[in-house]
Amino acid sequence: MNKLACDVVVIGGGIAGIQASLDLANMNYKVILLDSGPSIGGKMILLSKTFPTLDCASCIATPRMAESTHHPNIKILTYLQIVSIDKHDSSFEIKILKKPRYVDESKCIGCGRCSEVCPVEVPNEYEGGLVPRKAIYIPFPNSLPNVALIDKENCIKCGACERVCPVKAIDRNQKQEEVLIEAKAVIIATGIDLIDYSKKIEYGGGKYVNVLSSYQFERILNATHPYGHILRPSDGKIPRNIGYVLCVGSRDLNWGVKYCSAVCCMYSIKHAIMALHHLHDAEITIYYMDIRTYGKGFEEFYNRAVKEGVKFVRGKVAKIEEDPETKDLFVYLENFDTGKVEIRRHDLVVLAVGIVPTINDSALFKAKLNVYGFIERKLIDVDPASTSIDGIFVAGTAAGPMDIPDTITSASAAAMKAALYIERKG
Amino acid sequence: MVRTNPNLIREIKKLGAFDITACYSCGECTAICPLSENNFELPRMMIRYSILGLEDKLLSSPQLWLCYYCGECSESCPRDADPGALMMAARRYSIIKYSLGGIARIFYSKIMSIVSLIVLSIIAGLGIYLFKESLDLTRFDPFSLLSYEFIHTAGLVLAVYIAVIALLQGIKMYNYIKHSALEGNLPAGTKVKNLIKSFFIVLFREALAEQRYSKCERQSRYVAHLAIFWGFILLFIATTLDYLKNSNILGLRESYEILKAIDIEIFGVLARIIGIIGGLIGVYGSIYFIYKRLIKDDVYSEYSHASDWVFLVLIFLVILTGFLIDIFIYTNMFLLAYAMFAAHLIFAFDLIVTAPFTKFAHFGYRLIAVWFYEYQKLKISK
Repeated sequence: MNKLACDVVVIGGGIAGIQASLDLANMNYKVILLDSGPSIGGKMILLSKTFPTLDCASCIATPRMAESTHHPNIKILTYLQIVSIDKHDSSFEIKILKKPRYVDESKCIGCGRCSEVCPVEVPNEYEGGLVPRKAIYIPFPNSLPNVALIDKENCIKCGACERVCPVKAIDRNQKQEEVLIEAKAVIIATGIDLIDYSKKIEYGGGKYVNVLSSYQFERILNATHPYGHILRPSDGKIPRNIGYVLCVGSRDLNWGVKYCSAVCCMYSIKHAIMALHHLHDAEITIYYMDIRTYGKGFEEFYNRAVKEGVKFVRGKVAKIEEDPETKDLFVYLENFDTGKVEIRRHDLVVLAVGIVPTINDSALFKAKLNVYGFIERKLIDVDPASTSIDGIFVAGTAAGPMDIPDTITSASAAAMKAALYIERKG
Repeated sequence: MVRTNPNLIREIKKLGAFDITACYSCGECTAICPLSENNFELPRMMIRYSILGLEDKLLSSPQLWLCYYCGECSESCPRDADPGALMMAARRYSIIKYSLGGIARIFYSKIMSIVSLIVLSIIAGLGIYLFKESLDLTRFDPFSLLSYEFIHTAGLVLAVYIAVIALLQGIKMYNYIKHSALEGNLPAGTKVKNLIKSFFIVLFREALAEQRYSKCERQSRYVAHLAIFWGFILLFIATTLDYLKNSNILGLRESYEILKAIDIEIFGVLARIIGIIGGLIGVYGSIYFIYKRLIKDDVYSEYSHASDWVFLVLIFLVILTGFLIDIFIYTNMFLLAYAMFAAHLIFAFDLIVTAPFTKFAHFGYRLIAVWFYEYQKLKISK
């Protein structure tokens, strides 16, 4: 078993984990950054722009990713699973299982030749399943580490990649590897997942091709968009009439989660503005229950959207039906302004799905979870980075829904708290 | 001027809409409702009226009676506010408010309704005791318990009583709901034509076939509800036929040759057959709903108000005792048959006397509301 030691282990390589690692590393602490996926970057690197300034998300995330990769005080481990976290007096013992990539990380140069020749195509989870990827693949263009991996489940072992690899990096005999890390403190930055809307039968239960989740639409709007343009999946038509349904799974005691997911209003307004930048004559309607523009510059962003022609209609969409011929969609709602039931047609419907915590195993992380499954903060108003366990800190959306500026603030706070904790222990 | 009743929501909540104040008015219930239509939206508007205390507005809404509580709204409500229960509770509230002098309040209180039913049963029992004839124990002859004239007169009195109260309460309801008439004026001739046309729509589609109910998802419930209704109708027909037989066709048989030609016994046989069919489907319907309300596996049956039980159980007992009379006759237990006959009369008396003030009244109010609604639809269809 491999053994490593450091000052702080950061679990989760999204923007929160990266920020916390960088802050600690710049204070001269040794950090090991863990990510369960094949690349760091988390959710933010896959976003198109940030609200309310419409800054490019990857322009903010990529330099931080690169900096953390090259920082002498940071070691990044990806594609792994956490087995256990144990606390002994003043230190933590974290046992991880590194999953085999079947590609030698030290040899691979990320040229992508292997993906070109691979004959297997499977839905690309990083593109919301809208376009395919290969069975041997680099997750996304700015992945770090920029190393390919083989998806064993779909690989047909044809050997095409082995033949073209210029550095002979493919290693089918790779085994999973246990690593034991000893650290003085732990930061949890495991982030969020999106609610699976297939449970909502009234919205088609994931069966309507032209009903997209907000993540899929985010990808369509992205500069590296999967279709190269804003198109709808069923027939490649440019959608001239887009409906946007807010609070899908959020604030819903019936099938989703109770809480407000905090970012959906804003990212929906962002999507609407961005979509209008691409499709000047499109009609975009946002169906909402409340527009929650709570942050700095948010209300102005909303006003801007209204001014640019985005229609806001108050009324929760109860049902979506698909025209089996044209694959157009009909949304059912009660328009709050008129009190009338309306059935409106759209080329494309986007569901602003709510967010849920990634963690579901509280026993593993030891730290107490709140009723919603997020890590419980010790004292939410005066000590938001500490958890129920001394020495374990929480950063970003692992503690609850928040936007990117709040996530980064929270990550820096966790880094500072971890540093203080280590200093105090001596 | 709008008058508000600040206690409205509290009173309605007591009648079964326990969670309704959680509503944040998103309108999902209205948009999902299979019966919601433009100009007749439900249930969110009713929720707003209730919460804001707009009692007159609420009572003027025929929409309350256009709802059959399929429960789709309650199932999809993001706040678990149970809009369907609000509609049900508001209907209970309207039955109280539409009743003469608010007397129906008695039957919407658990203790009061039981006490009044006991009192009514005692009155009926005393009546039977005081007017009873000498029992013929060698065979079953209903008129040896109570004379034919007595039953006849009592039946007539009850029929007049029901008719008068139904008319007065119907007018009271109409005075409320006429305020939700849609804008627009039609010539008098068209008005009459529409009135008649909508009446027949109501009679055939709604009263006899409950077509709107069939739009709700759960077909088994629709069938059971229709079964109770048709059970009643068939039993009513059977009773009428039996009455015609015993009265020698209203006593006219002696005077007219053409009536003499009819074999009077055929009325008895028909009454028997129709009565048994009506009784069977009525028992099926009432057992279905009693069972559903006991196992509480559906949105609408989760909560049962005392008035629901009184109504269902009385219907069930009336039909059951009717059957038992027959069973005891065929097994030659005549004394028991007479006892069942007395019980049957008592329960029927309870059911009929309380009908205008209990859940029974929903039948009348619903027909008026649907008639009003169909008429309004014809009005704007031009």
